[in-house]
Amino acid sequence: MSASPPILEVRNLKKHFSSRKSMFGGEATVKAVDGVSLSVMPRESVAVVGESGCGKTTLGKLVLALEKPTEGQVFFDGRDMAGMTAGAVRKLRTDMQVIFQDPYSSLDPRMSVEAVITEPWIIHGMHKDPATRARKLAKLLDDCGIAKTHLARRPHEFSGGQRQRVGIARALALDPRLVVADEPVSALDVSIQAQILNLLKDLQKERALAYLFISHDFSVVRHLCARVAVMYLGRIVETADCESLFNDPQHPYTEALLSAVPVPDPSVEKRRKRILLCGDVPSPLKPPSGCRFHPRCRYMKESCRLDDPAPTQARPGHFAACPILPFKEKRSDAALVAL
Amino acid sequence: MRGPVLAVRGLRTHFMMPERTVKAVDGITYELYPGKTLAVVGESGSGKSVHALSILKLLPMPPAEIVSGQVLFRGEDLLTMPAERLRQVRGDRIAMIFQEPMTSLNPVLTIGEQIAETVVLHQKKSKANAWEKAVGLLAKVGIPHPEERARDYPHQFSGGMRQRAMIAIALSCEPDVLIADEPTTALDVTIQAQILELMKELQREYRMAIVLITHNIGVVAEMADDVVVMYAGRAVEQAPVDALFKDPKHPYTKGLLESVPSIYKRKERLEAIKGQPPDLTGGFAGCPFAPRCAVALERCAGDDPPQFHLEGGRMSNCWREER
Ligand SMILES: Nc1ncnc2c1ncn2[C@@H]1O[C@H](COP(=O)(O)OP(=O)(O)OP(=O)(O)O)[C@@H](O)[C@H]1O
Ligand SMILES: Nc1ncnc2c1ncn2[C@@H]1O[C@H](COP(=O)(O)OP(=O)(O)OP(=O)(O)O)[C@@H](O)[C@H]1O
Ligand SMILES: [Mg+2]
Ligand SMILES: [Mg+2]
Repeated sequence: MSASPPILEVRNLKKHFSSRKSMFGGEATVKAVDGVSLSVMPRESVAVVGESGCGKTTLGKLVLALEKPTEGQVFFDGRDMAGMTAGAVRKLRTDMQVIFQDPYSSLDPRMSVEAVITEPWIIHGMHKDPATRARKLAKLLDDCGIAKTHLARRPHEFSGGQRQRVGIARALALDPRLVVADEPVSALDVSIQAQILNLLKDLQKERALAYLFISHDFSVVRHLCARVAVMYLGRIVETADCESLFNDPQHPYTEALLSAVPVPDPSVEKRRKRILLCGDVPSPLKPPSGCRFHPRCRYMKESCRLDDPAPTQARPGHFAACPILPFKEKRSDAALVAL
Repeated sequence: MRGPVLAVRGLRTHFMMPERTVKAVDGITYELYPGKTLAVVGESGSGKSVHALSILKLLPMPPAEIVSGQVLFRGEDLLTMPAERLRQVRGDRIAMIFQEPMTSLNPVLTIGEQIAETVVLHQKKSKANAWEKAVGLLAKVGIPHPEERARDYPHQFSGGMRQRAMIAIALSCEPDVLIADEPTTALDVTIQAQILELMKELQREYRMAIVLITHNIGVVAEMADDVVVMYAGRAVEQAPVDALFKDPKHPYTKGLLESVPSIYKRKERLEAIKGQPPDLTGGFAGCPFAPRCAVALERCAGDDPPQFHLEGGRMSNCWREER
């Protein structure tokens, strides 16, 4: 067994927002993140996937200490972030960086590309020696596929893909060990998305990065990540190695979610049966009782209305929060065509 | 009728801006048959929406100008037909749905009123009958408790429900052609699956022909019979869906198919297309894809390739097909 601790560990993390917009006048609570536990090992890429509003971005913000948890803890490198001194938090900010979805709004339009990328060095008083700085910058540009001739330009002169490269270069300027990436390729066209995914993959290898990769796109996740956590209404309902999850999903929600993803191959599309979930995602203001997925679940039993299931292990490293797991073999109509 | 219900011939739509001309659509030709789905796929800015809006003359003119082409609906050219007749066809025989249903629904009318309105307008029904029909349509597109939900305003509907309501409006006149511009792009995958399934079901029932605009290769594989691949305002490749995926001819199509990750096959690396999407303002001396093309020939940069028509009803706009 390797003794190295996870670079990131969150335990029973909760973030509740109170909103005054309740129809009945009173205060309503959105349980955006409601008891999430998760860990990321050094150099590991872990994905958090789920539908809109399930709490992915909020989880990312809690990890980055951009939001204060209502309950629970975040450990970075084995240390509880809540108890850290200001200095320790500043140091941590260099170890943990973020890449946002929207390269348009996350970059300051008045700054040149060079200023955007090197600003973190100024903030943290690093690489003051001009020669070191030039060398570091050249390496960063090269790694991220940005032309030196573009340094004086402003982000708005660029296409989305180029801007995302600048965003990535800025995130990597401080040589972080963990990068939280919130939908980093969702706003990009497919051909550009592929370039950025390749870049993220290469950078992970070369720079020994760990990723917490937030996405709603299973295809992207499968390509980039080693492990996956599936979120539904503020909870993680299933975690597993990528291969295990994609080949044999255990939670009924994961199963339906995977079967909803269109496959870019018409011969597969014509043969496969898919599971259609009925209804919309319930409002996080009023999550269903018991298992939160029960109103949309096709295997629902009476007990699912009442019992809130805890994660159980289906096989080593593969956990799902579903009490009907042991009955999985009996699910008759396998929804996905075996390939 | 055996012929195509919609035929687009050599459509070119340009935006005449003060200092430059944007050739947003620059040569699209296809035929659409009853009960079939034609997918128009391409990346952002390739001209998919402008092509759709041109078909129904819904663009601001100026600055837009339909420079050439015909759009034949059952043999009649929509582009030259009198405005009054075009209004009849639009919304009655040809319906359109958009990516963001919120912007095309009226926020101050209930969903039921909006559907009933189109029913009254196009089918000359009484108000009471139209309301009943509206409720029936909401049920048809899978809205639970349609009698009650018909009284809701658009903001009370979720994104998926709004898209269903848009489809109900589009279907209210049982159109021959449905033009759907990214109908599921703003939706979650589980809701997308519901909407696509609904479109397929309704298509079977009404033998409706669908022009489906999308940038999602998976959606193309699931829905299309035929595909038009657009790049820089042009159709660069056209083929039946199976042939296109099995044996893409145009280097851009190949690149596009290799770029998409799949949940079924984990590739070590994606074969990304290098470079950036083109700028449409300059115009192109040769093939617009040449600067990014890995297999470009010497002539491609300066010589505009024609459309090469190949076996199996296919077309590729690439010099490599010249024999
Ligand atoms: N500051 C806030 N105040 C109140 N509610 C909030 C706040 N931030 C998020 N929420 C709510 O918390 C829930 C989770 O939001 P979050 O942005 O984390 O979802 P997400 O999974 O990132 O969704 P998406 O895929 O759409 O980005 C949503 O219901 C959202 O409306
Ligand atoms: N009103 C307008 N005035 C000037 N140019 C326009 C106008 N509308 C569209 N264009 C240009 O026409 C080109 C094609 O745009 P279009 O909206 O058809 O692209 P699209 O393929 O639908 O892209 P997307 O996937 O982003 O919806 C773009 O370069 C766009 O900037
Ligand atoms: Mg988010
Ligand atoms: Mg468009």
